[in-house]
Amino acid sequence: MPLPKTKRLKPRKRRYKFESNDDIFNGSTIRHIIKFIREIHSEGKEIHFILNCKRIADKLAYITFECLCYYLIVECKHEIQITWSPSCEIWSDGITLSALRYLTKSAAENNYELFLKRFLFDIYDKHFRRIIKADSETSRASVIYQDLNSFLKGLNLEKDFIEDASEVVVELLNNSIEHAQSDCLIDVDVSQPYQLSVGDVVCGGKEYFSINIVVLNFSDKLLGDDLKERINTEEHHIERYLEVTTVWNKHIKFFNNKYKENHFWMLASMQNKVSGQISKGQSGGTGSAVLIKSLQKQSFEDKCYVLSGKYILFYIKELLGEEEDYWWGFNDENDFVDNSPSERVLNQCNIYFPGTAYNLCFIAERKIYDEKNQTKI
Amino acid sequence: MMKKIKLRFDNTLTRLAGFQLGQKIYKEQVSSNWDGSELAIQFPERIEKVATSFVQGFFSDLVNEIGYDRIRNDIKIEASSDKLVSEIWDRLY
Repeated sequence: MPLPKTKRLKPRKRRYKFESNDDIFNGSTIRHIIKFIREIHSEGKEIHFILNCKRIADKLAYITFECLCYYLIVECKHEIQITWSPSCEIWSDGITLSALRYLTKSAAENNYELFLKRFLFDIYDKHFRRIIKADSETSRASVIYQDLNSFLKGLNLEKDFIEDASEVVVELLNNSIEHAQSDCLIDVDVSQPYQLSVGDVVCGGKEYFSINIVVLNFSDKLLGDDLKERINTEEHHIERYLEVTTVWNKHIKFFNNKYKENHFWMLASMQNKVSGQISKGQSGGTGSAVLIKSLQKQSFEDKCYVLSGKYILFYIKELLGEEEDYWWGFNDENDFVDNSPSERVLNQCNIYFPGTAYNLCFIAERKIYDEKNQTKI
Repeated sequence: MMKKIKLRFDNTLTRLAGFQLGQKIYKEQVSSNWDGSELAIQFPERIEKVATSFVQGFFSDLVNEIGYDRIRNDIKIEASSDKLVSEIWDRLY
């Protein structure tokens, strides 16, 4: 009797499942995802993320998740499936245009080519994404400045807003490449219109939109590290850096559970005419705060912060102060020198972010034009 | 007599950004061509905007060598508009 024919089957990939019931997809969720990923010790697996969140905390939260998925696909050769349906909110509206949308079918059916393509470069509808290599030509920042400005001009935004938004992104990019000396990810999206509501009640007829910006790099160097090293190792003749040393000596006594040394160096590195780079001598320190404050003044509401390592600094408009003495106060006293920063600007993150990430979100009133007479309403 | 240097950039650039680019342009196009007398630096007409990082990079060697006051006294900037000239000076400080 002949033996039955057999067919050699392709070995099935081991499947891993991660499920979260967090209401909000935020740093805590990402911390659990990272812990889960660390338990997978080999390559080429299938991973199913089931995220039962109702909403996403902000843009940086889903961009960080995108970066994790990129790492899992490219470095670890995994196949990914994401099951989630968070609601769209004004701070995280860009999720609909995120590359993550290509990972929501089964792990075998997902379009990884498109995910990778859109992760690295996108300019579609109201979404702008670039990855800039640290070793790019010196003119690269200028090209990004132009490209982003052109992109925003096509979206019917206020001219001053467009100028300030494109400049703040390119200056943060410049800082990333120069200080962190690492690749930089830029992501900008402009949301669909939203109406203001209290509970389920819509207030008034005005519409609002948001422009949401993330600029991040992954690096061993955190924000403020260069400046700290410069202050601690260099003999200073430059007045500005002597002043920073004086401020440091005053602030040591303010450090507590909320205000950490890392916060000080982050704050100091944001001040005008302060740079961590010895090559910059007396110049340098473009002062991201002045650009962000300009955008805040043009906005109805904003949510702006920088995360580096575990430390978060919020840019709170009324606490930034004025730059009369070229110091940004970050406190009610408008005084960086003799007073500690307000506790409202200080926070720590659930995860350690290996680098620096800016999350800048601005809500502005949408101008509506009457098509017959081109009048702003 | 005031010396004039017309800066040259890639023809596709209408906006300038980056400390390193600013330093490079100064070193390659100004530093070796200037004897320390009065100087006019002309940006091409097509340049619409100049970011702070570029301005600070461009003037970084000069700031260290001669200081802000002498720069302001001895150097004139020419650009596509008075507004841009004013912005460039504002960004230096």
